[in-house]
Amino acid sequence: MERPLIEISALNKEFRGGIQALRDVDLTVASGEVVVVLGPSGSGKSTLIRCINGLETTTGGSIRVDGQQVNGISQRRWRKVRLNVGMVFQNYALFPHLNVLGNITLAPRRAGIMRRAEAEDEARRLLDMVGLADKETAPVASLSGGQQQRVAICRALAMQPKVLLFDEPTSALDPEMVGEVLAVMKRLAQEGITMICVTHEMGFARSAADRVIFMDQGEIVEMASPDNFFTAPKAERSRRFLELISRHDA
Amino acid sequence: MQLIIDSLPLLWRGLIVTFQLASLTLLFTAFISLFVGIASVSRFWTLRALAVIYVEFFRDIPLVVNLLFVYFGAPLVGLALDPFSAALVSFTSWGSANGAEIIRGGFNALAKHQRESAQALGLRSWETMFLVLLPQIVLPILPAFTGLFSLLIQATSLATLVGATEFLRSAKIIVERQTMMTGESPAFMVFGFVLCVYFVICYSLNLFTAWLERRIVTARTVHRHAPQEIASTHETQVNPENT
Repeated sequence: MERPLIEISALNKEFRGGIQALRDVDLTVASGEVVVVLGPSGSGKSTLIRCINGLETTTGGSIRVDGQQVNGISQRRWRKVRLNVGMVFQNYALFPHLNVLGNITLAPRRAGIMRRAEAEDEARRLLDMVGLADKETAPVASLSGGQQQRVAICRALAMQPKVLLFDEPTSALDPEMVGEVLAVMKRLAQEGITMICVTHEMGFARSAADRVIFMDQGEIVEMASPDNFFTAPKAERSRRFLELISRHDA
Repeated sequence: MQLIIDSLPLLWRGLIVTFQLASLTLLFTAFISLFVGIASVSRFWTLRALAVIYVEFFRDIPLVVNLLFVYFGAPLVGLALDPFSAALVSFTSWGSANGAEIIRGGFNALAKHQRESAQALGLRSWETMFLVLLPQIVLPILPAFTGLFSLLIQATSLATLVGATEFLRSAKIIVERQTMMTGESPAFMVFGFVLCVYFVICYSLNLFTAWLERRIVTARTVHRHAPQEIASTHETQVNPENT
């Protein structure tokens, strides 16, 4: 069997001040899989994916990315791991002093993955894919939230990562812009890019996920296919969560 | 007025010294501020501690005391500094302590996710610092730095106290000489002229940075080559007339 891309076992994370953000989390993600992480706020979803690219330190258990043990390694070694792990943030986190092209090409050029011309061609191809071909020279501050988030996705993709982490990518967006970002994410999912998405978008989870994980209070409460999870949730906490969501939708 | 015109060569020489002192002070202040400012947000606590010590030491002593201390204290450690060098060392140490604090404040005001997104993209820590974080704090710290630079230019007149023949001292010499020769003091006139010159220098600096600020803001917000956007701005201009 092929080696899983991400193997997390018995992962624990305790913040200073004693808050237990993750409790014995086990998760294995295969290459090409799309995993959606659901759960109420404060359930540890974001912390979990931030541990996968070293933005949070862990306090117990183990994480393997592409076979390499990563928890507890030095910042210098984390850098190498991060070249293969892309991340899209809730608030886009584009670099405001660079234009769109500059944002996308900076990291691949610095990492020596591509030369300037090559990186710019690739950036144009990605921008075209997300429907922003006319924005390559635009300063990021002139873009809408949805456009900025699509650029942020291009920026992460330009590094040709093995896995993409999404940390609530649509939560900061105005409602009318959520669709354009989700459309890009669905397309990536279809193209077979490995993705772990923390999101509140149930529609996306239903249509794009291979697997849904429900977290609450730092634990993985339920792990199931989207069909099973949304139609026949096993755990009581999952049921309550889905009830709350559907009431809110109605 | 005739007196000032006659004294121009002397005043000019003084002004040149002031310019030299000010420009060297600003240059060194900028570099050391940057260095200490970056150290103060370092991952390593030893660098942070050294930065705090430097900043607090020089910031908490009056500049005049600092200047006298450097000028009269240097010979005690076997370093006889001439007035110009003593003033330069003193102003630079004071200026860079304050400048480092401005830079630290700039870094602290940056959103946390900027550093995180740079890290997540696999940039090295120096790349994160110099290509991502530092360029972003230039704009917000520009007004505070202009203030500091303006203050430092004005502070160069303190060099008179240790005997550097800069602009203010040249003026003083003229006033004293004229008073001795004619019995009448032209102090108001001469110092009035000095005041105007300092004002013009510092005001020009402020105008320049205000212009620079506007330019950076425009570059970071306005998309010049977007036909659709130009069209949409036209619309918003037309709309009020329609209603």
